[in-house]
Amino acid sequence: MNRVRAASLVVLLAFVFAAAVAATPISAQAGLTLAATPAFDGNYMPGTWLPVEVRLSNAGPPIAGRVAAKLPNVAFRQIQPIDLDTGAEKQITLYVAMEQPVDRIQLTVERDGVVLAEQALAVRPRANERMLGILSGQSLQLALPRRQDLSAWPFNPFTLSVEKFPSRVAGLSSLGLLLISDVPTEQLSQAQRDALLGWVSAGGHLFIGGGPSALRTLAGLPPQLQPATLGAALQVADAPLAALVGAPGPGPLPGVQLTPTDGAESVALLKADAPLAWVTHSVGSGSVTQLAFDPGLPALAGWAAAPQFWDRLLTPALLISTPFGMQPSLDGLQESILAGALTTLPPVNLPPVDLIFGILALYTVLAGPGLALLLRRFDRQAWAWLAVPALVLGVGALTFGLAVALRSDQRLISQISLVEMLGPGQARARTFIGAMTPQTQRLVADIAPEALVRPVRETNGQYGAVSGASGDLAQASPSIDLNVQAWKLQGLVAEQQVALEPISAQITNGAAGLQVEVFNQSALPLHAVAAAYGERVVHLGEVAPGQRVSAPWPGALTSEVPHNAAISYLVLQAELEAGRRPGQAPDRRVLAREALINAAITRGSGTDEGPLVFAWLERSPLSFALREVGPALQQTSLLVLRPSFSGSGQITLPNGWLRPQLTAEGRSPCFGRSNAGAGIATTITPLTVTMQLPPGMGQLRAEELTLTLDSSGPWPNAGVTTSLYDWTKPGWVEQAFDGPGNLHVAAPAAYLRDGRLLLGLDGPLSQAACLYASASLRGVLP
Amino acid sequence: MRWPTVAPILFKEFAIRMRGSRGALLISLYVGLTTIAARLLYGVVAEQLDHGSPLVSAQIGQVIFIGLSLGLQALTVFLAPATALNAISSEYERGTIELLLSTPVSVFQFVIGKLVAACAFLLVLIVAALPVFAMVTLFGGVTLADMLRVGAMLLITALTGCVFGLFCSALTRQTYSATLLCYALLVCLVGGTLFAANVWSLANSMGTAPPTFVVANPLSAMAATLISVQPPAISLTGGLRPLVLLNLLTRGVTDLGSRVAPVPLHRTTAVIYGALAISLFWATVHLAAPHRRWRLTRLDAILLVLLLGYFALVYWSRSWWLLGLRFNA
Repeated sequence: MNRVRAASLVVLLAFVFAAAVAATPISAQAGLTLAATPAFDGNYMPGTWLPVEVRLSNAGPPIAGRVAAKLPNVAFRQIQPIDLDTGAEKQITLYVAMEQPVDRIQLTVERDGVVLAEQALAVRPRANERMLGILSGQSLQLALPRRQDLSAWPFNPFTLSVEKFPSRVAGLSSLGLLLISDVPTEQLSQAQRDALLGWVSAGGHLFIGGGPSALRTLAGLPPQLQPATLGAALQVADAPLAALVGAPGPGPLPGVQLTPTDGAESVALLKADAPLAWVTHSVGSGSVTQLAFDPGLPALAGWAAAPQFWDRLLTPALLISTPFGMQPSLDGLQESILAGALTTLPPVNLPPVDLIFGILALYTVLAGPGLALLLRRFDRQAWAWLAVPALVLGVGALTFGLAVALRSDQRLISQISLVEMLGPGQARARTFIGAMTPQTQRLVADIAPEALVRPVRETNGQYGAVSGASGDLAQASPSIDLNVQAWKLQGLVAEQQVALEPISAQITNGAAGLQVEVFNQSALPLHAVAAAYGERVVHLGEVAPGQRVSAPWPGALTSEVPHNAAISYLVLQAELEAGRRPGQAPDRRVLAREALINAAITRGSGTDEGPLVFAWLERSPLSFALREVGPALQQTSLLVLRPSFSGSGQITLPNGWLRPQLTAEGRSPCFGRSNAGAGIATTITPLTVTMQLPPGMGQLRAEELTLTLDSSGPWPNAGVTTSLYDWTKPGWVEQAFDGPGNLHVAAPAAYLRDGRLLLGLDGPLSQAACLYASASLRGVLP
Repeated sequence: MRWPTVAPILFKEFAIRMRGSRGALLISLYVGLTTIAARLLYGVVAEQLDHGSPLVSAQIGQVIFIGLSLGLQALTVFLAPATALNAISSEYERGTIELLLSTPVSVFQFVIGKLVAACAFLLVLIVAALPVFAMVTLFGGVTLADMLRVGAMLLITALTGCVFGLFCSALTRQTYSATLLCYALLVCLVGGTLFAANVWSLANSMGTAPPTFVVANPLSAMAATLISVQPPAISLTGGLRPLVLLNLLTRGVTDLGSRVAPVPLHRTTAVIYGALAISLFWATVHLAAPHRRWRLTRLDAILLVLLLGYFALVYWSRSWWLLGLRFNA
């Protein structure tokens, strides 16, 4: 009995030991220490990247392994390979895609699947909060509003230093706001400056402090991030600050004179001759605001209304609704469009079928008349009962063998790249790869080591659903694994700020009117280049390397297009219409292109960015390609350029340049009439319609202005008042207009300020249903 | 039954069928039409590859397989009776039946010899079309079970068609009349049942017709056989919908709709065709006799036992084939 008990005990112990070994393959390595620190004290905006600084030291035997970061309940990990010799110390930055609002990141150091060291990092999701980075040479005392004093959008300030300032856009992605003040920005490395430019272009709002140290703060910033040139030191009146909060100001502040650069469209200015308190300039999807005063002034810190002031001034450049809450970035919106476009899979590679059909045609002749004639020659027609099956066997073996040998690869790969020029030599590239295979398998992709990769978010496209691939996603590695399940479209997205030889676009105002010009100084051929804005599209065709192509901007519409027609429709009109004819289905390559343009122009409820130039590339500058040979592959790459505007003197702008902001004040566009496009709903009166010129034209002084108003419903024949806001008075000025039709505005200069015109309508407008507003104008650019 | 007595009839029939150009032309026609159908189907799919919903390779194979199977079934439905339509009537027309039956060959042996010869020729035709199915292998998407199921349906249809042709031949004893009768009934069976199902559907708010309307339709049965050949379960597919054709041919009876599994209508059809083949063969044995047609013999007892045995088997397997008649399952 004792022997039985002892045996049972041994078996039990062995079982427990085996289970323990199987469940926790952890083998702490003596001498290996792991210490990791998340950026921003672990606070992050869900759906962005969180940099984690990992410090490793190894006093034990050499280690060739990897560092892995994993969030709870996600099917992928971010990994980085490491090599640690005995006595070595290493510091790496691991970028973790925070695709879930989690409170923990599990970090491990592994070798051959065995965990050598691990650490759990506490993190905190900050959805719908203002993540404010502060890069300042002094201890900046901002009297920010307290969390408990705000009903929404509380502040989360974080202090940054030049040394630890992220050198990749991803490192800044959790921030919505960044304040730089009293910092010698020339100490920033080129990578840090590029990251800053990329972050602003992607939707960040950068504030630059003024005051005595403004010059050194501005000196090292890229020219695109300088909305104003600095002048002499002066006292800045507090009126703009007081006006912003509706309370007495802090008194005159010592500051510098600001002169807006071309394109600065919004300035805090009450009187024409008063010094500017700040200047705002749009850069891509984001904004830069140059303050004339030092934000750390004691007078400002002691101002009673300072919290309200910062609350109203420090606002994100844009806010987009995402599954993670409102975010100051278009990335989520663009990703849902582009990931959905992965479902426009390429056609399968068709095998060479002609050979098989040739054999079958020959067989048809042989099996019937051929065999019959042969057997008749020998008077053995009855042998056909054996000859036909024998022939079937032979031909069947041949054709089936050929079919097996010629069978094509059934894997389908869809690749979509959006490349946005940020400035000379800099572009932001995002590449989405979707793969569908008949078997669950692992694909290997070659990728630029600097690129960051994560699974795409699950979304629905035109032809079905796409979900993220799982597995270990390597960083700082030349290749990456893509685990895909059978018959399931799964994808990854890679992003990188890449160096790209200059490709520039410009709109000039000359004697011949507006001209758009594209200058390709790169080695990349640009295909089907088109510039589009305001229901006008200019097709520039192919632009070869080194070539400069220009074309006049059309004054009148060349064909009947709906009001506010989508730019993708204007650019791809012929191809899209071909696919919409009765009995036709759209070409999926065209749909992929349409999605790319839609993603490039999407602004959510944000403001219009002005004209854009689109060019199709043969390949993306972000190197990301599957190593597999054989799958059907469809690659579509779009380069997006924001043309600069130059020129002065007389300018004539046809309909489409001064555009109504359809989504202003939280409105949704209405679609009241077929082929009329989007309009403004007239359900709420009085109605204020904001019309805006594109960036760069804010200084235009209008001499002639004609507003064209129309509606989907009948225009009320009585009781409607039409007014324009006079910026010089200021106040509303009623206009003589019995609509619908053209309203010729007398002395229009007073109504157009910073490229903005306010149109007020009041009365029984609801019967008009959907309002369509457009304007043509003539004026002078200084 | 003594096979040596059947053998001369078989050999004679085999020799006659392959003599002349008719057999060779039929083989060429059968294989040629199948090849052309495969090429057309491939062309249609290849043209649509760039447009609409993406197609995976397996779906192209399935489209070709479904098209070929339905085409072969249609060919078999109309060719099978044709191979036997003049088998008995020609003996009457030539006046050789009396001479033939004056030999040791019995009426049963005479009829079975004719039937085996007709079936064998039809089998050669079906086998001859097999190399065309290499096109399906080229793209995949079809399992061996799918192919075997389609093959079994084709063979059952061929056998029943041959027996039916033989029956018409024996009933009318004139090839012309037999042809008219046979094809009139076939058109009624194929077109009439679908028409009736459509009328029922129209009268019932475009609802799905009860399976009994189309259960005897050979094309509906093949469509039901092919329902299980489905695209991969992914939402990205659907641009080319071969299943729509199958649904049309079955008036929605086999449509998955909210069901978890398709209605196996073809099982019921196979059971009916089996019973029909035995019954028609039995009647043909009597009808083929020049004299004393309805005299009962030991053969009738054997055939009765065979039929009862078949019905017993059908009863025993009712849970398998009755699923095909389950309305709104």
